[in-house]
Amino acid sequence: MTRDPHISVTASPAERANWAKSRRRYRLACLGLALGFLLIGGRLVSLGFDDVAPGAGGLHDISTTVHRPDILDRNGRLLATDIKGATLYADPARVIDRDELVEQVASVLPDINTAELRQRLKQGRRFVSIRRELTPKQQGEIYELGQPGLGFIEEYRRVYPVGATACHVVGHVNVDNKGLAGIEKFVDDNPQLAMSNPENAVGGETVTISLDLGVQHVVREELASAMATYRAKAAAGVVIDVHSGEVMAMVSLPDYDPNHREQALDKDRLNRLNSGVYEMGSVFKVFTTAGALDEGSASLRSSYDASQPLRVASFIIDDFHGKKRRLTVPEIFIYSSNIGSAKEALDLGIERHRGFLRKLGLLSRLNTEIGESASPIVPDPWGRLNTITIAYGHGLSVTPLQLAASALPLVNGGFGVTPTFLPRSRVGALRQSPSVLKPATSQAMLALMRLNVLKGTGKNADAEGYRVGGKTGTAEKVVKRHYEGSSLLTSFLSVFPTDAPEYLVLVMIDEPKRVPESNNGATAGLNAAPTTRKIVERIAPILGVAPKLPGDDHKFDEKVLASY
Amino acid sequence: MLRFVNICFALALVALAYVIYQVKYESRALDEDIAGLRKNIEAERDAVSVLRAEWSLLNRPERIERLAKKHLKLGPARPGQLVTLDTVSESDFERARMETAPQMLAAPDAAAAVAGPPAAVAAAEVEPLPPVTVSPPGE
Repeated sequence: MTRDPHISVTASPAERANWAKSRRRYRLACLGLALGFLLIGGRLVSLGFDDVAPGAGGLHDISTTVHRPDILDRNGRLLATDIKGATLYADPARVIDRDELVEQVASVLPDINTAELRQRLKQGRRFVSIRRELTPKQQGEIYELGQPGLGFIEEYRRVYPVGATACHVVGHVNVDNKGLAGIEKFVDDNPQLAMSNPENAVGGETVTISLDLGVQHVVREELASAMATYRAKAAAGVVIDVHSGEVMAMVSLPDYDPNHREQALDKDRLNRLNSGVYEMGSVFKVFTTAGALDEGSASLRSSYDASQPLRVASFIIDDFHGKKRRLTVPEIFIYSSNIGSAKEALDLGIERHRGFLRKLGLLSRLNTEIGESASPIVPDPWGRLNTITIAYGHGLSVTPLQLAASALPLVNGGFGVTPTFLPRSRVGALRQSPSVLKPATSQAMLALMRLNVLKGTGKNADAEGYRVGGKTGTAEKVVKRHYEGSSLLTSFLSVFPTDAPEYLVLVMIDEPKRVPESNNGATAGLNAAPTTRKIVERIAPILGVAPKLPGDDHKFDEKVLASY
Repeated sequence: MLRFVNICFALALVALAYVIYQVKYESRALDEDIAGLRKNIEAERDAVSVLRAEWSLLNRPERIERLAKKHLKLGPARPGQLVTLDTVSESDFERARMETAPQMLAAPDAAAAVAGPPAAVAAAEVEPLPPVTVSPPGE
């Protein structure tokens, strides 16, 4: 042991013992301190290795509304998106002069209720919301006021760049950005739909729907022009891919601008295709004929006597385009004979007729992404008279979308494809769909529908080159519990091209008037059929359906070349 | 010796402290940069979504159609104007080339003197070509 230099040699033994004691204490203190520093150091190192939460650099998402995925059409065109907007609020505790503040705010936002705002400021809560969805210009002006009591919150605001064009499919949201109708609501209920789309430069989530904006626009424009021409109350139309069931366009006029959601409350602007039920009239004869052919109670060569009106109880069923003779099944179809159709249905039998309609889905609600359709009005009990009237489309009310959906198997080879508003492949749809009709029935129906356009009531629907086939329907509407001859509901159910069916088009016009443009008539052949022709002529090139002209298939128009 | 080691340690401590402060300030500056950049990205993203909405607003079919009606002499394509490549044969191209070529050549010089008639003459000459048959896709 070395000698401690501090301890003098002259120190007494007692002093030496004292020194030794204090040295032990000193060592103990050092050990304690070292341990303490080690502990703190260790903790510092461990903190240094901890992951710092991203976004901790002072950025806070102060939005109170939820961020929604963008909605795109099948070609990636934007139908709905979120943009950020500011909400103006006041904090009464920091307001210096209430009246001055209210006056200044009113100078920027002239339509504000000053008395009400003053009252709310007086109540003295900490947060008084003044106006949502400010434009950047308004926000700048308010900022310039320099009032300490005013503040902004950033919120997401839903905008629909295409306006009313796709309103009934896309739907709309409420003030808190929650989906209220259409696909917007469906997206809220099925969040897994919002797939992260790498093509989106913004990196946000998107939902793609089956609609084609171009087709949608054409249908809407032609229906609007039909509504104006025939001075109709309303018009609606839908275009469906017959193999995949994808809805390419769906329009119901009058419609609303989803950017002004208060318009959606107007009852007149509801989606007639999905929310309204109608007695569709003679278009129902496609189901009667298909039923008779599919169940084998009649063939294309069968004939029924339509020379005498049919008397059932106190009712007399007569024909509009009466021929007063025996008619074959194709003739019944193209002359739209009520008597013949009623007899076809009776021949089929009440039970089998009802069973056939049920199999096609006409007696129950149709469920699609934009919500369940209105419930069809089915007669109960269903007697002989019901079968007779339903054969030509009266006495059973269905939604037009349901009618279009039920007609799909009639034209696509017999597959019960359900309509959808989301993209779906034709192969996938056919694999999922049960076969509900014989392929031969579908072939016969296509031939009959084409024949009707060539020789029957649908002549005005013949779009040059696109081989349209279809069936007219003119129904009298029930006004004050009576069928009213002057208020009609006309419709045209069509498919094109009939030699290789691709798309089904249903056009419906509510209460068209007798105008010179329709030869002073108001039946479907004079308004719904020509509207269908105009729609098909314009959408076929968009949908890639090649025209076929009679005669030479070798036609080279120099005008096309000149435009290059 | 011990003193020298101690001085070395003290100096090293000062140097380390300086380095640590330096690194800390640098990292703080970088953090601020990151926060600023994040904010900018956010702002740009908002701007992009506004611009996309605007692009889509300006591109809506309604507006394009209105503008096309006003400024262009184009209408919807009629079935007679639609031709697929399979139905166009070589001689069609030949004829089209001969019809358009004289116009192109004549246009710059002596427009009034020769531009009109040659095109018509060329068309008239080409007209009586024998009917062409479409060659099968295999050839």
